[in-house]
Amino acid sequence: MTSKRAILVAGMSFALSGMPALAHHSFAAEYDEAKPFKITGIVTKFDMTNPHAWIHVDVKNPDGTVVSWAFETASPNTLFRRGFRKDFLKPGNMVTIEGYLAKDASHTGNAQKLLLPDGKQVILGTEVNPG
Amino acid sequence: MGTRYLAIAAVLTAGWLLPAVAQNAPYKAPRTSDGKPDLQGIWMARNAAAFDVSEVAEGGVIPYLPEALEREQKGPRVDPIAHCAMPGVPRITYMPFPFQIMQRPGYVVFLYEYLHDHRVVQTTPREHLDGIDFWLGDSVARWEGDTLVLDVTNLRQETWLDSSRHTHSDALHVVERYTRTGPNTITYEATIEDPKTYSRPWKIRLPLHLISEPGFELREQECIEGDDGRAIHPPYRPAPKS
Repeated sequence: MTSKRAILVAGMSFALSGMPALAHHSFAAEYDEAKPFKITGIVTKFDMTNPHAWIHVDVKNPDGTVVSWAFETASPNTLFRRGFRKDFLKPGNMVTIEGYLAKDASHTGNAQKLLLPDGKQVILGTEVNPG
Repeated sequence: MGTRYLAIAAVLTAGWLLPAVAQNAPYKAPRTSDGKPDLQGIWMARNAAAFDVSEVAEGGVIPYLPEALEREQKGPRVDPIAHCAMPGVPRITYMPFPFQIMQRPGYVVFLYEYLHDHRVVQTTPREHLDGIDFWLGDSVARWEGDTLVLDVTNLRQETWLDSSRHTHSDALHVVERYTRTGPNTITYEATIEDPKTYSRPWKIRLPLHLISEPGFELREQECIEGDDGRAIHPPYRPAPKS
């Protein structure tokens, strides 16, 4: 259900740019905990940068169109201490991400959990984790 | 008689030698409790390096590779610090803001007024971190005689060396040298190496001046980027449409 809703939102907000902000905001300012999503796509870029790392993912809609999403995760130090390295995710990797959509209906979301094809689950949550 | 001549000769020689020795003697920095050169104090560059780093480059030239110049022309044209990004190394050192050096046995701490940045650097050698980059990189320190040497890698490629859009790649490697060359001066040298951008390592050298006014202290210096692109910040994200 949630993945269908995310794809629906993706389709609805197709016209808006999904470029992530560089500014550092709280979860509450950017994301809506009433809008959870689960989305599957192909990694185009993993940017392990301060203040928060971003996973860029291309998601294919049922009609074949592709939408580029960007998902904000925890800080690079938090990820590093959990064993992440900057080459942990590479372009072409298939991932499923769970999290919360942005309030402004851009193609961005707060990533809470990463599900890998081999069944591994990785917690990506930021320091503010409503989930 | 011979002894007298020798004594006169010795006095004359000493009188001739002493001023020469004094003139050539390197400045001996005061010591910290663990016997290291004392670099502590509030320091600041007073030159145009933050605006154009070639002002302090050896020979006045940055040895760009042609492909790097081409990349630079196609790259972003807004200074990353306009988005409140940290300035990177070596730029943080010559930003026109004071910074404080504090020392403890085994550590040197750099506190920058600019954006309350800091570097806490261990002087015990270790390997650089693997698999993570930072805006100010990963600094590993050692003492070479009276010089504090910082080896800095893991730098993000987005930073500029100055506000004149002198850029680098993710292969940037900076070796910084801090030497106290007078009671009020640290001579700062940095060797800048980046085989994806420059044809050879190149050097900058500039004095850092001690701020000796009584009571001078670092204060808050913040940068907040607005989402709406107004004020000094260019639009980075479109404002939500209502």
